[in-house]
Amino acid sequence: MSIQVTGLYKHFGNFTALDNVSIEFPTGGLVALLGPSGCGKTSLLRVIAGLERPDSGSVHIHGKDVSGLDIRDRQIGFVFQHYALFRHMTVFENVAFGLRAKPRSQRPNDTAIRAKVNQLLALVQLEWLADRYPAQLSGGQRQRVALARALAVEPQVLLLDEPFGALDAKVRKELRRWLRQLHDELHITSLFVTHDQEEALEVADHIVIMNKGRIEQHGTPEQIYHAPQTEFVYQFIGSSNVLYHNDHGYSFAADGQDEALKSYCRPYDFQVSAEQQHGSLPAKVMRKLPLGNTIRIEAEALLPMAESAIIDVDLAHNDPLLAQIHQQDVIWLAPRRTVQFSR
Amino acid sequence: MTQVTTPISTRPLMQVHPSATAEPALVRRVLTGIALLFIVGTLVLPLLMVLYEAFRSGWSVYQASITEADALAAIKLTLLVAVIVVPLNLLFGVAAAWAVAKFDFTGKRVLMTLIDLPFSVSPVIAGLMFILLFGTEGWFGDSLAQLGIQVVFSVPGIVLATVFVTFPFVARELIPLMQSQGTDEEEAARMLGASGWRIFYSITLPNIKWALLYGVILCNARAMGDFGAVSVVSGHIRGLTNTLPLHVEVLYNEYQFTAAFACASLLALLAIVTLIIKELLQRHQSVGR
Repeated sequence: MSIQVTGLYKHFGNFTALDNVSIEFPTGGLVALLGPSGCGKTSLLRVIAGLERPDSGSVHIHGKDVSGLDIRDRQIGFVFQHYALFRHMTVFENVAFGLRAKPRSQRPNDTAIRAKVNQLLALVQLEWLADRYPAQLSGGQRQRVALARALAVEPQVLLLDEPFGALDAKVRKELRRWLRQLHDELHITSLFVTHDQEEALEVADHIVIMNKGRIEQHGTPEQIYHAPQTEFVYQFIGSSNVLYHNDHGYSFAADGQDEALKSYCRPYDFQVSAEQQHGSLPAKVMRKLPLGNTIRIEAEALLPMAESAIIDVDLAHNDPLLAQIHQQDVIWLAPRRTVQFSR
Repeated sequence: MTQVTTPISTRPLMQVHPSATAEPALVRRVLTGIALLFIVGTLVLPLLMVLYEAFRSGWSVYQASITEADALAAIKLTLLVAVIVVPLNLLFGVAAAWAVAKFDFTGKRVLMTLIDLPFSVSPVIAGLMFILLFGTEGWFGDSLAQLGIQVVFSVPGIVLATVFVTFPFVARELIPLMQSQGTDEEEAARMLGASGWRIFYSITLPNIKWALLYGVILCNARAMGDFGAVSVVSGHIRGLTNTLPLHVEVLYNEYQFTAAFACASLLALLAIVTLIIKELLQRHQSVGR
């Protein structure tokens, strides 16, 4: 089911959480709401869920205005950041809660509830934990119980608030892949909030980037990564270096020239050499960070004035140049590809 | 490659100088001695004295003292007041704590201060307040008299004063717990389609039950034991408006020491039972889910 929000505003005191947000989420998609903390992504999710009332604007789910609708009638599944499992209930009772809470006329009988819960626990591969209490589960298991609980009421839409935020790196990776698979199986329109661009790029088929209560850009992961439309998106989606372009070429500092054009360069878009080349800029090697397949060099730009700038440069781990570069050495950097944004 | 681990016993022990974590023996003994002396002198001895005095003239006198008509009336009245007051404050306390801990609204701080008010006002003042409001010379005295309702020097006044004095116990016990638990579980239940009432009894209530019970126990102990506020509004009418603490005072003032201590021993017993239940509950609370 598609979700459409139009002209949403939400203020908390002086803080603007949502600033005229309008967007349509495609049916059956797995969408990431990506942005730094305080950008309004969680507020947007909570407004869609009905947990927060917008100051103005409307929310349509499958063409139907749900703004005035009670949460219970929105048919939305919500997975909380810290799972919010009912601590005094077993895993089974947690998942069954939504079914038992239905009005008497719609409530399935006990056998049907049992069957449904067992089926959901099988889906999240936790049947063997049905009689445990939340406190006895690991973080990843709790997250899956929370998901099964949300799915029990057969929601039209699934909303997940930082679903992997509180998990360690390995479990996180497994769960991401698992969520992706689950979504491919169920095809339920899903929105998840994250501040981790890697997670968004890896899991989502559509990414919405938010900043200061506004939507900066939305599109497929490819579009976001390869064609960022604003400075914010470019800087948020990966490491980047700032350069200034003037009549003489590139510089790492603006040198007080107002007309110098601000440009951005990815760490892997430098031509690196040990000697000065035409158009290359000097920098002193501070640290070499082994990041696996690539080696990141943190270098301090050598600037005429007292300004300082740290430049990130990525080299392949088998680059022969690496053997020649040591700490405090000067390397010469020539940007291969830069990006400018008009203001 | 095999990994070599040093057995724990051969590892060098971390050296902690004893004086860093402990006082000299003499200081320890003196401090412990003072603390024990204090506890014995102010808590244990008085309690034992009450029991000793109560039973000094024998079991039959004790029995007669607490089954005498006025004493029985006082016991009944005390129980009646507790039976009315505790459920009322259970209701108010839970409602107030629920509002303060789970919702944001203007005037929240004022409400918090009001909840604490009975703790900061002397019980005697509380009693006087009710006299000024409902007494014959009071604001509502005339209109109440016309309706034939007597509040002051009667059971309604005692109940009102006790409600006021014991108001904070349940709310105070619940607010910090409910605040620390947050509203996540309630929101989750709401998203799953539960009604407000269902959220309360199947999510909120189970999470606070031990603290709630603890608050009720304390509220009950105070409701039965309060002297100050009740003393002002009751009028000390024997067999009619004397609660157990007031009855003890009357007996004592009439030099009926044994009877006074016999009745006092009932209150002491209540205190001991309360402490035991409280201890059990706290154990449950820390173990409980």
